[in-house]
Amino acid sequence: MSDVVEKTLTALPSLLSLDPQPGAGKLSASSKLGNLIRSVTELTSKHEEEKLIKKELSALKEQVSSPNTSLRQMREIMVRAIYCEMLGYEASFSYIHAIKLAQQGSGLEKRVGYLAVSLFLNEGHDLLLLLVNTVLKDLQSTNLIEVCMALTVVSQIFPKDMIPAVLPLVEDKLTHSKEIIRRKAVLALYKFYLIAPNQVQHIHDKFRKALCDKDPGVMTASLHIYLQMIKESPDSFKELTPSLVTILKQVVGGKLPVEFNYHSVPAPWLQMQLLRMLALLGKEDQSVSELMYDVLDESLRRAEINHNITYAILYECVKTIYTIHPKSELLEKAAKCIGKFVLSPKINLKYLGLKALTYVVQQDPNLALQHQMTIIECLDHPDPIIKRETLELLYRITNGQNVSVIVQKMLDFLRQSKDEHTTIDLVGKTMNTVFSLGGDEMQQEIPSSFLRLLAEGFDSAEENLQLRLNAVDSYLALLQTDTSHLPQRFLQVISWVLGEFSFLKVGLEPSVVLAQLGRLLEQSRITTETRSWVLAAMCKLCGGAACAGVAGEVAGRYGGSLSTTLRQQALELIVLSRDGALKDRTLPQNASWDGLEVDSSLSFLDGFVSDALAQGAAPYKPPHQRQEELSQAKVLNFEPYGLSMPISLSTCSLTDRQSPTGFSLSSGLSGNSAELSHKGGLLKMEGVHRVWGKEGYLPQKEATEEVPAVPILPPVPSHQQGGANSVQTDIPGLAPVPGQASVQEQEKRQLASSLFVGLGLQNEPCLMGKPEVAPQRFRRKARLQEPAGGSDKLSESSYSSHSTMDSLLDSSPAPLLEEELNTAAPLGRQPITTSSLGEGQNTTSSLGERPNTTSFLGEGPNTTSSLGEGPNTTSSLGEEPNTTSSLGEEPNTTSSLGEEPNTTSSLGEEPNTTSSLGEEPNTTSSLGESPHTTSSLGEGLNTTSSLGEGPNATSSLEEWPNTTSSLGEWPNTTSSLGEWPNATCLLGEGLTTDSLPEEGPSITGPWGEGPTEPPPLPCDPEDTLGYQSGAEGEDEPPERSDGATEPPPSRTGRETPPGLPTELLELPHSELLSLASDHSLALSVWKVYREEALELHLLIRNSCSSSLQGVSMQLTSDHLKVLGGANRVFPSVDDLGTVTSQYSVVMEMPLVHAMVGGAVTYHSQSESANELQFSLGLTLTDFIRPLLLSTEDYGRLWLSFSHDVKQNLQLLPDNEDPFSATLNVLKEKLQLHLVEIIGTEGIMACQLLPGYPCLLHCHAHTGSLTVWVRSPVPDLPDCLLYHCQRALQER
Amino acid sequence: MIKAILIFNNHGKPRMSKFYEHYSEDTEQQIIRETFHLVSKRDENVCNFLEGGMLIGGSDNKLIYRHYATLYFVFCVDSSESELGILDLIQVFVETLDKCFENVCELDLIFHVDKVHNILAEMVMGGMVLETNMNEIIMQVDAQNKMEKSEAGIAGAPARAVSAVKNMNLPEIPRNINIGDISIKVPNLPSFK
Repeated sequence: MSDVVEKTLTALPSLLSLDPQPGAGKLSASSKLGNLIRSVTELTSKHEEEKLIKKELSALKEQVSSPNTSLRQMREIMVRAIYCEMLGYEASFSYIHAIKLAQQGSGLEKRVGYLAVSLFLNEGHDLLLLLVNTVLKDLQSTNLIEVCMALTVVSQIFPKDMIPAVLPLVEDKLTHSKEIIRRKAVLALYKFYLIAPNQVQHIHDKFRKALCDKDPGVMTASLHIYLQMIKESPDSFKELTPSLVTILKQVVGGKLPVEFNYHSVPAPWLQMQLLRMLALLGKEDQSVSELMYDVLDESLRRAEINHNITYAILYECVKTIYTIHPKSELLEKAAKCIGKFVLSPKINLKYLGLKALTYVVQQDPNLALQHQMTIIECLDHPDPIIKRETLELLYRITNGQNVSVIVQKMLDFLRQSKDEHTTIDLVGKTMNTVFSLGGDEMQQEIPSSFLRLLAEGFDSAEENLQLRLNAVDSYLALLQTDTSHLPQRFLQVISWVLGEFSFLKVGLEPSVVLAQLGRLLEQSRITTETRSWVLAAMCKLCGGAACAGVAGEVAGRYGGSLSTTLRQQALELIVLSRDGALKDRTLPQNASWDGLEVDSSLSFLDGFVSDALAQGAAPYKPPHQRQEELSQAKVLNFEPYGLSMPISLSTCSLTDRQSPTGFSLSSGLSGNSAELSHKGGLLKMEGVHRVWGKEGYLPQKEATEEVPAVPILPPVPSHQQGGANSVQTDIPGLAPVPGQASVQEQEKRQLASSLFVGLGLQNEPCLMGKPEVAPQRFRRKARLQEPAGGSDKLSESSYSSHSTMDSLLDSSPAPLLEEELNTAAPLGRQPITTSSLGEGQNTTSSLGERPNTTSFLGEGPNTTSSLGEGPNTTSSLGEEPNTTSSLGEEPNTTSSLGEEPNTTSSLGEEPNTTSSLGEEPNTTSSLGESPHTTSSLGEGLNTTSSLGEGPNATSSLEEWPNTTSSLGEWPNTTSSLGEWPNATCLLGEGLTTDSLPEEGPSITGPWGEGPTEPPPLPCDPEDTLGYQSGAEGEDEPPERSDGATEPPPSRTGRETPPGLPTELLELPHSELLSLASDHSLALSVWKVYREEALELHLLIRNSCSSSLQGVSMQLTSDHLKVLGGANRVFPSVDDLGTVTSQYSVVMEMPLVHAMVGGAVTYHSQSESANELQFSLGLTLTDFIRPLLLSTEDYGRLWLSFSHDVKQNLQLLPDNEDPFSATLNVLKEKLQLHLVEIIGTEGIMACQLLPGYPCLLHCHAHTGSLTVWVRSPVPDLPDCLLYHCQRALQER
Repeated sequence: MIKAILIFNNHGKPRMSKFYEHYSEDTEQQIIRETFHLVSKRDENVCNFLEGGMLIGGSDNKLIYRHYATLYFVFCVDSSESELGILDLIQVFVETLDKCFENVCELDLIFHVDKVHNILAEMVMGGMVLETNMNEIIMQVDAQNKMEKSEAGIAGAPARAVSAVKNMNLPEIPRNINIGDISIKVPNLPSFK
C-alpha cells in the first residue's frame, strides 16, 4: 500500500508552485485553498501559522458575510474553514453559514454544508435547532443522496431532545426500498438508542425486522443495536441465540453473496460481531452455550486462511469459547489457537496472543505455563506495549509466591517508561492488587520503592498529579470498605500516601481523612509498626480546627501506650494539631522528598566518638569484622565456590535489578548477621536471589552437565542409562547454541520459574516440551527449595562465588569444557562417563585407568561377563584420551592416586605375577594375554575385562583350581613372604574376580597354607580404606569357582561361603557378614555397593544334611526402600547347599542408622515350619556415593540447595597438612568426592542413594574445621555431619 | 465503537480528523498532538496497537494505527472493537481512497478533505462500522460524484458566464445587471439543463 501513497510531501512544492504540470492541474484549480495550504506548508513556526490563519479567517469572515458570495464560493469557503478548524482555529462565524449551505444548497453544496455542520457543531450546540427543518425536509426528499446525508448528520450530532422530531421519519426509513437507506436508518436508530433508549422502546419489533432483513448489510447494522441490548441485559435476549447461531453458520458456510467477502473470508466483521454477541449470551449459561458449540468449532476450523482478518475472527472465537460455558474439546482447540497467536512472529498477533492469555489465564493458568518462555521474552520486548501487556498478564497470575518478582518487574517497567502517561493507571491498579495480595510476604523494599516512585514522581508534573490523585482516590475508597483483611504493609503504604498527598485532592477535608485513619487505628489487628505509620500520617494531616478533635482523641488514647514510639508520636500529634505554624515548619506539604538527606556516616556523632576515644574507649568494629577476627585473621573467602552460569546471570541481574531505594541498604547495614553485611552489597544480592533463586530452578545447562549429579537416577541401571541418554540427546536439541545464548536462555528460564511458580498446581511446569525427567527434577527442587531458611546467604554466596570461580576458571585450562564442545560424541557420552566415574570411585583401586574401566562398565553394565563385548573394551579404550583428560582435571582422581601407595607399589610387582601366570601351562588364552596387557598401565583395563571373562568364556573351570593351587604355591617360591598379599592383590585385581577378605582365612582352611596366610584385615564396612585393602588382600578366583560349583569334600563342618557372582566381584562390596543361624540354616550377607543402590546379597546356607523345602525369604524395613519386591522363594535347598538372593536397597529418607529386618521360613525334612529372623544394621554411609562434579557444577548446585547445616569439627593432628589429611579421611571413610581444595577451603560432594546430592564445604581455621553441608533433602546434612564427626573421631 | 479517526503526516500535521464523540476544540487538538506523539515514536517493527490512552475516555480505549509512507491513519476505538478488524478497516479505507483518487497521496487528502470525509461517512457512521465492502463504498461515493459532475454541468456554465460577465469591462452594463442576483439564482435555473 505504501507505494500507493508514494507521492509525498516532497512533491508538494512543485505542485504548489502552480506550474502547469499535469497532476497539479486539478489541485491548483481550487487555488484559494491551494494558496492557503501552500502558505501554511511554507511556514516554519507555530506563531507564523497562527498569524496566517487568523488572517485567512478574517478574510473568510468577510467573504461569508458578503451578500455576493455564491453558494459555490461558500462551498469553497467552508472547505477552507474546515481546514482551519482542523488545524485548531475556531471559525465559529462560519457555523451559521454551514447550516445555511446545507439548507439552501443542493447536491454538492448541501453535502459540504452537512459535512461542515457535522464537523463544526456538537450535540449541545444551539445552532442545531436551525438544522432540524433542513433535516426533516431532506429526510422526506426523493433524492436518495439527500436522505443519506440527512441520516448521517442525524446519527452524528442530534441531541436527545431533538430526536422526537425526526424519529418517525427515520423509523419510516426502515421500510425504505433501498437497503442503503434502511441500513443508515438502523444505525441512526442505534444512535438514538444509545442516547435515549426510552424513546425507541416502541420500535423494538422493528429492530427485529431489521435483523431479519433480506439484505445482510441491514442485518449487520441491526446487530449493533442487539449487541448493545444484549450487553445491557443478556437474559432477555437468550432466545436470539439460535437465530444468531444460524446466521453465523450461514456466514461461515459461505452462504452470503461473494461481495461480502473480504480477502475471500465471508463477512469477517459480521462474524466477529456475531461471535461477540454469542459470548455475551453464552456466558455462564450452559444450555445456551451448548447451542453454539458446533458453530464455534466450525468457525475455528474454517478460519484457516493465513490472513490478518482470519486471525481477527480466531481471536474473537477464542474469546467466546473461553467466555461461554466451557467445553473441553473446544477449549483445547482454542488453547492451540492462542498458541498460534503467541508464537507468531507477527508482532500484532503476539500482542493479541498475550491479550488472549491475559483473558484466559485465570481459568487456565497452565496455558501461561505452556508459553512461559515466550512470555519471558515479551517481558524484554522492545515494544513497550507488548511489555505492558505482558505485565498485565503477569498481574493476572500473581500469587503469593511470585508476587515479589512480578512487582519488581513492574517497577522496573514503570521506571523505564516514566514519560508514558498510559502506565499511570496501570500503577495504581496493579500495585493495589499486588499489595493486597502479596502484602506481608513482600520485602520491605517493594513498598518502599513504590512510595519512592510516587514521591519522586515522573518528569511531568501533570502525570505526577494524576498518579498521586489516583492513589489517593483508590486508597480512600479502600478505607471505606472493610480493611481488616489488608496486609500490614499495604496499610502502611496507604497511610503514607494519604498523609503525603491527600491535600492534592480538591475539596477533601483533612479531617475526613483523619477520621478514616483514626478508624484504622482502632482495629485490633494492626501492628504497632503500622500504628506508627498511621500516626505519622495523621501528624501530617492534622492542620485546622476540625482535626483537633480527632487528633486529641487519638493522642489521648495512645499517649499512654506501652510502645514508646507510639507514645511519642501521639504527643507530637497533639502538639502539631494545636500549633499550625509549627506543623508547617516541621512537616511542610508536598516536600516529602525535597531536601531529605540522610547522613549515613552519622557524622554528627563524630564529636561524641572522638571524645569517647580520647577517654580510652575501644574503636568500633562492625560485627562482621569482629566475627572474622574471632575465627581467623585472614580468611580468603568465606563462601564456597560456585560458578559460571549463575554468575553471568547474576551479573546481568545485578545491573538491572538494583534497588532504587536506600531503605534496604540501611536495613542491610543494621543487619545482625555477619554474613549479610559481609559484602555490603546485600541489596543487589537480594535482587539476584529473588529473580531466580528462590524456586530453585534447575538451569538447562546444568542438566546437560550434571546428569550424574542429578538426584533422580532411577534405581535400575538400564533405566538410569536410558534416562541419562534421553536427557542427553534431548538437551542439545533444546539449546543448540552453547555459551552466551544459552546463558540468556537460562536466565529466562530462571525467571520463568520464579514467575510461574504456584501456577497449575496439578500440572508441573513444563519447559517447552522437555522430556519428563527434567521437569520432574525441576519440580522436586522447586519444592525442596521453598523452605529456604538462609535465602540471603544463598544469594550472597552466589555473589561471592562468582568472583572466586571466575578466577578459578581463568587459572585452569578447561579441557572438560573443550571436550564438551569438541564433538557430539563425547558430549553425548560425557554424563555417562562421569556417572560411572562415581562407580570408579567406589571400586577399590584408583588407578588412572580404573575410571576407564568403569566408564566402559557404565556403558554396558553386563559387559564384563561376555566375550562378545571385547571389542567394546577397546573402543572404550580408544576413547580413553577423552576420559582421562577429563579425569586429569579431576583433582580428586589424581590425589587419590597419590594416596594409594599400596596400589602403586603392587603395580611395581605386577610383572612378576603376570609372568608367573604366563608360565602357567594351564592358563587359558585370555590369561596368556595378561603379560602384555598388564605391562602398561593403560592396558590394565584390557586385562581386567579379558581376564574377567576368563572363568566364563574359557569353560575350563576345572583348570582354575590348578592354576590357583600353583599360584598358592608360588609365594613359597618367592623369597619374601611379605610380597604375597601384594601379589594376590594384584592377581585378584587383574582377574577382577575379587572376593571377600573373610574368605582369606577360609583359603587357608582347605589348603592349610598357614605361612602364606594373608594378614587378617579390618572389615568395617564403613572404613573404606580397610575395605579396599581388604579387597586387595583377598584370595584368588579358584576359591569362588569352588563355591560356585561344588564344595570340596574337605570342607566339612566349616562354612564354605560361595563367592559372589562374577559380575559383582568387581564392584566394591563388604565381606560376608553372618546374620543369623539356627540348627539347619545359616544366613549371611554381602553388601555390594552398587552405584545406584546398595545391594544385599543374602546367602542361605543349608547346614544340615537334608535338603530344606519351601524356603522363602522376606525383607522388611521401615525406613529403607527395598526395590523390586521383598519376597523370594526357593523351592528347595539341597543339603549343605547354598542359595543367594539379592535385594537392592536405597535410603529414601536420610537416617543416621537404619535397620533391615527379615525372616526366612523353611520346612526342614521333619516337615516342621521354621522361621529364622534376622536383622541387619545399615548406616547412612552405606548409601553414600561420591558425586562427581566439577567445581563449576558444584557452585551451581550449591546455590540451589536449601538445607544446610554448619558445624565445627576437630582437624586431625597431622604435621604436614592437617587440613587435607582430614579431608582425605572424610573422603575415604564416607565415600565422598573431593572436588577441589583451594587453600584452606575444600569442597566435597556426595549423593545419597537414590540420588540426593549433598555438598560439603570445609574451611579450616585455627585447628578446627568448619563444615558446611548443603542438600536439597532436609535431614541429609545433619546425618552426614554426624558421620563426618564419627569418621574423624574413630580416627 | 469508534471514537475518532485521525490522519496526520509524519510531522504531525493533521490531514483529517473526525471525532464521533464531542470534545472541545482544544481537547481535539491535544488529542491529535498526543496521538501523534505516541504513534510517531514507535518503531516500524512494533505492534499497531496502543493502549490505555488517557485522552479519549481513559483506559478502556485503544489506538489502532497504520503508517503509510507519509501518513498515519489512527483509529481511536473502545474495547469492544476488534483490533485486527479495525486494522483491516484502515486498510479498506486506504484502499478505497486509493481507488477514488487514483493513487492517493497526501496532497489528495489535503485538497479534498471533504471527499475524504464523504468516503469515511460511507464506511463509518456515528462511530459504527457501516460498510466494509470497498466496492460498495466506491459505488456510493461514485453516485455522489456523479451528482457533483452533473452539478458542475449545471452550475459550472453559469458560473463561468458570471465570471465572464464580471470580467467584462463594459462601462454601461454593470449598472443594469445585478451580479449578486444572478449568482444566487444560477443554481436554480432550469433552462440550462
